Amino acid sequence: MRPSLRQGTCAAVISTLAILFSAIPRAQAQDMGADRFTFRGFGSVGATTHDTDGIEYRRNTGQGSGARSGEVDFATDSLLGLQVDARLSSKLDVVVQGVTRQRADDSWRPRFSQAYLRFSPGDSLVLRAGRIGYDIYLLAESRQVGYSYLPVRPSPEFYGQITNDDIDGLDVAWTRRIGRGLVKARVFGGDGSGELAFADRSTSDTIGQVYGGTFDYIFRGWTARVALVQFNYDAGADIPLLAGALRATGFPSAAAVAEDLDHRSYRSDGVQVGVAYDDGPMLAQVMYGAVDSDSIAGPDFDKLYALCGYRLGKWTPFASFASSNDRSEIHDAGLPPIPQLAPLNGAVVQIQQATRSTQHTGSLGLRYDLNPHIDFKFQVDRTHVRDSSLLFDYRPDAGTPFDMTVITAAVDFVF
Amino acid sequence: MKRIALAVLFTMLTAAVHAAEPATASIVVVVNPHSGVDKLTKDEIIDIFLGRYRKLPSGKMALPIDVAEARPERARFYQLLVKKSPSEMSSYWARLVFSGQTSPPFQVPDANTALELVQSSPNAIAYVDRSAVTAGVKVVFELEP
Repeated sequence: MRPSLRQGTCAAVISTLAILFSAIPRAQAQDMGADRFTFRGFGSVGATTHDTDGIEYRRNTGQGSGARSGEVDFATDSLLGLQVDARLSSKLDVVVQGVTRQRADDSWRPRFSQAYLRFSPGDSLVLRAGRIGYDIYLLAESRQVGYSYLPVRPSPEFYGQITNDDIDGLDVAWTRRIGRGLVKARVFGGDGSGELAFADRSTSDTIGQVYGGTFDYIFRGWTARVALVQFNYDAGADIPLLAGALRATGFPSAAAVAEDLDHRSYRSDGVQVGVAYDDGPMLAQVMYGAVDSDSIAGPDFDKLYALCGYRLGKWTPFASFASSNDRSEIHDAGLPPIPQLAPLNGAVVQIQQATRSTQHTGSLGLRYDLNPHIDFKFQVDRTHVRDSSLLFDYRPDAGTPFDMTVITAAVDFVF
Repeated sequence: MKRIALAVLFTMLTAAVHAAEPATASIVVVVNPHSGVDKLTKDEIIDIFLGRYRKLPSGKMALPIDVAEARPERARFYQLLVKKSPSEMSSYWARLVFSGQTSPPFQVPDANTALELVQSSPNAIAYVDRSAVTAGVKVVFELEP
């Protein structure tokens, strides 16, 4: 895996924050005697298995391997995160968060998922700079924190294509009371990265810019959100070579594919709308998301997610449905089926397969809260897969549709 | 495997019980007499204590105070305010704290400490049992069981 530009950026952010830690006199920390430093943590230990031979089940495309049939896998749904909050003054604080989880190269190297300086000049305005999350999904601002949501994992159909939802940049959030409810608007922008792992055990880093905004209306238990996000990401060093080879064939169809692919960067635009109801024992949410890309190399899909849970004392049974559908079919370069040209047709198909996620899942589960810091979850997923890069398919008839049942038990904790 | 999974799920579902504790006394929300606030609505209190919008109607910034997690009035307050159990509130704050959205209320050991802070800070807002209210604070809302 090649080193990311963001590793250098993150190191600079961490260094800056460390200087700030030491430079601000202790006397400036003032909030009714609040502790200057707060250490927190979160984690999940999940045991995952399923019933389909030849399939490795992953929760996102950034995992280097997945759960196999007949085996209990502890990597897919397990992780650990630590966070330090440092209050520099009543309006200024620093947050640094590190997470260790299964990565694209199958390692568990920790990664800084957040490292930012937060400035709150007033009650309704908050600015953050550094490594920040760009959460665009309802009720999942912190999708690594299993204790904060009902299911054992964020829906792979809805969230599985986003491996790192953070940017090195800044965001501004503004909140205002309108009528009996609240309006909250947030804009963000910065450099982002993603890790992709493929079935042949190769990996790839995606680097680019992410811009967007969210607009919420909150009234008691209701939250409605509209989110817009734009991803601009590097095409990769191999693309010009492939485009040149396609043009060299002289076939118009191959030249057209080369024209589509041969750019320094690609752009994807996403929109998400959602409504959530979280009042008393009832939790329900419905979300719709769509992404359009300017190249066949990018995703082009619609997503739908619905979740409903009802608390009965310490128990919360829940049900969910998630669907992801690619809008276009995969096509090759249109070259004749001769062995010399097969690699080019194959490469064009492979590029499109990397972002596919046509599948849907129905889930039933149960959460039990042992205490205000630990929960236990049990979940059964029934997934129909038509064409998806979320899973690794090593079956003899790989690529054909199939159904699978995934069973997961997990313990989540926060401290 | 499917049969085992269904059996476990069925057992857990049938074992589910209503465990919510009945609240026995009213909880009042108190502020400093010099805060410029005479009363608050339930929506405003929800927004302040859930970290959505911490501004008093007087224009001052609100500094909400929680008593320790083990204190029974804390569980009763959130049960009456938003019908949430301690675990649900912990889950709610986990979502926001680990994503940098906002911070939970400032925590103190008990109601006496909360009352002292409210008496000394015009921005502070706390909740206590009605029977614990002292002369140095002003009641702006009452949550009845």
